[in-house]
Parts: sequence; structure tokens; C-alpha cells
Amino acid sequence: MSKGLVNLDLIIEGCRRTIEELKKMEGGDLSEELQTLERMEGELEGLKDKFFMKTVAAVPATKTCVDEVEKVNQALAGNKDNPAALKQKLNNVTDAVEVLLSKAQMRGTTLT
Amino acid sequence: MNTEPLVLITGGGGSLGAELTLLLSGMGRKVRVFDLPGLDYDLLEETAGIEVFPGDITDRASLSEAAADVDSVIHLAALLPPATEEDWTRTEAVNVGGTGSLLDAVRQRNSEAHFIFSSSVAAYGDTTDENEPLTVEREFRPNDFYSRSKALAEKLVVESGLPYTVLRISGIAIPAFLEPPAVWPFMRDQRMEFVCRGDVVAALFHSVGNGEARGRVFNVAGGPTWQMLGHQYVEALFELMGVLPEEARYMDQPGWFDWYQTSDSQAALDFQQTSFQDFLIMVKKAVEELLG
Repeated sequence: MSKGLVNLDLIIEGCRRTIEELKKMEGGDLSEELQTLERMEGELEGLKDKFFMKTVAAVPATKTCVDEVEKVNQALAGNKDNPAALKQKLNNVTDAVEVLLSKAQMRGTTLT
Repeated sequence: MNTEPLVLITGGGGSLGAELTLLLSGMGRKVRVFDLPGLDYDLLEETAGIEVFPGDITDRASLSEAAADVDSVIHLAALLPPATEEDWTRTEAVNVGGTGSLLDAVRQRNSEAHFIFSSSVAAYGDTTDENEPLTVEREFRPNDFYSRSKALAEKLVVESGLPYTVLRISGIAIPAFLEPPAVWPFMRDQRMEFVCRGDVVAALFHSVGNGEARGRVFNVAGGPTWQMLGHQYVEALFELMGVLPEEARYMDQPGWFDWYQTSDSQAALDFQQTSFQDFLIMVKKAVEELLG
């Protein structure tokens, strides 16, 4: 399996953990971020068949997502971040995933 | 009334057509681009000397208007695979009927207009029984809708009475980071010889106003450095993209690619400027730019 696809699995698994933790939280207005992540989880699944994910170009884009998801999940586990800091980390995740989703829409080629 | 030589390019809104349009315009030619409404014409419309004429190749009335005052025509507009294989009626209407209507429109406006037609090596059909690079004398044996449409359209051009140049263009390789076809249009070990898009543009460009090219048919393919087997091309490209060779899917029946005799074409049109290695370097650069 390509490194991009390996990273994609890590991103999806990481997002699922984040979603689970956010659902357990009481207080804090993170409902919008939760909704966005739930939508993105579905879109990330859809990337598994994309040619882009088999290429070397997928590695840096997915690595960024893996790192940002990990930072959020560490923050949620440690419960030390204030709501604003947590919100920022969640926005970093969704921004990174948006970049990945955009790059994965590789333009196709017509040969004739 | 227009007194400057005017080139009409059908399909000029596509990637090949737009590049050719900008090149011709940059060299001082007046160009009229004819292509479907709704395309992004911003760059062309902003460029001096380029007129955009939205229209449909199956609409005789708009073709008649588009053909007014033209001295040369470069006919690129066509339906391409895989769309061609879904509907022969539509393919015939656009690729054959559209070519016929355009020829009629041009003949009525200027019977001396030079008609340059982008035909295709597809018209040769399955040539796996050949042992030598194909010359333009090789008979047509079209084996799908697209190849049949190109063979028929080319015949119309040659028999039109207009001064013509026919370019039988091979598969076009674009030096960019692009998603390849889900199934490559050749068998794994089939002979194939693509050509870089810039070289196709050069061949078309050098056909305009070229007396040596009038009344002739040319193979347009990359040349000896591009002659290889299908899997060799794919594996070279995939290596640059970091994709495993086993991800490639090939046809299980012959496609219509082969190796081509292009020395006559090169002598007349001087278009083979990009070797296969040059092409790979450009793709590598595109991948590196993406990686930052």
C-alpha cells in the first residue's frame, strides 16, 4: 500500500477518535467543528480510490493531516486546552483536510 | 472587410487549441477561435488579435459566419474517446458531419483557404501485425467509433477541393502532474509512440502558410526516442509519480497505437523538439513543484 493510503487510514481513524471525544464533551461550542469533521470523515473515505493517493504527492498532504489530528487528540486526552485553543487545533485539522481533499482532485488527461 | 490573414481554429478553446491560438497570436497572426459556449475564454479574450466566436460544429449557420474572411483553418474540434464510444450517431454528427459542414462553409467563403485537419493515428486501427513503423500509405482499418469517425472525416478533407494538410496525430503526452487513464489505451507490450503536446502545437503552427505542407498527409508522433512498449512508457511515468507499476491497467485487446515513420513530417514541419527524456524531466519538475 502506498504511504499516502497508509496515512489516509491514520487520518480517518484519528478523526473518528476526535469525533467520539467531542460527542462526550459537555459545554463549549464545538458543534460546528464536530459537524465539519463528520462530513469530512465521509469525504476522506472517498479518497481511498483516488489515483492521487497512490502518488508521492499525497505523502506531504496526508502527513500534515496526520500531525494535526494527532495534536487534537493529544489535547483532548490531556484535557488541558482551553476551548479557544482546542477550537484552533480543530480548525487546523479541517484546514489541512480541505487542502488534501482539494489536491486529491487531480485533473485528468485526455490522450487524443 | 478584413485584409489581414485570418486563421480560424475550431476547438480553439481546448488545451491544445488555446496553446496554439496564443502562439499564433503571439507571432502576429489574427486568430478567430470557434468553440462551444460556456468555456473559459478569459485569457483568449484578453489577448489582442484573438476573436472568440462561440458556436457548435454541428450548427451550419454559425459555421458560415465563423468562416467569413478566413485564409486558413485549423480544425481541431472533435468528440474524443471515451465519449465517442458511447454513441455512434453523436460521434458521426460531430466528427464527420461537423467536418463536412465546416468544409462546405469554408469553400463557400474562400475556395483557396488552407484547411489543416487534426486527424488521428486511430484511423489506422489495429496494426499489431505490422513489422515496420507505419507510413502514411498504410491503409485504414478503423476498429472503433473514434477511429472510424477520423477515417471518414479525413476522406472528406482530402476530397474537398480545398488546399489541405492532414496531420495524423498520435497520443498526446502532457508534461504535467495529471491523473492517467483508468485503463491505458494499449496492451502492456504493444508498440506505442506518443508525442508531447508542445510538439503537436509546433506541427500545427508550422503547417500554417507552409507551401511544402499543402496537399500532404503527415504522421505526427514523437520520434525514435518515444518508440517503446506500453508498459515502458507507463512505468517511466509512474516512477516519477511514486506509483507502483502494478497499479497500471492495460487493454486486453490491441488499441490503435504503434510506431510511426515521421522523418517526412519532421522535414516539412520541424516539430520534434521534445525527446522522451525531455518530457520526463518536465513531469519530474511538475511533481517536485507540487511537493514544494
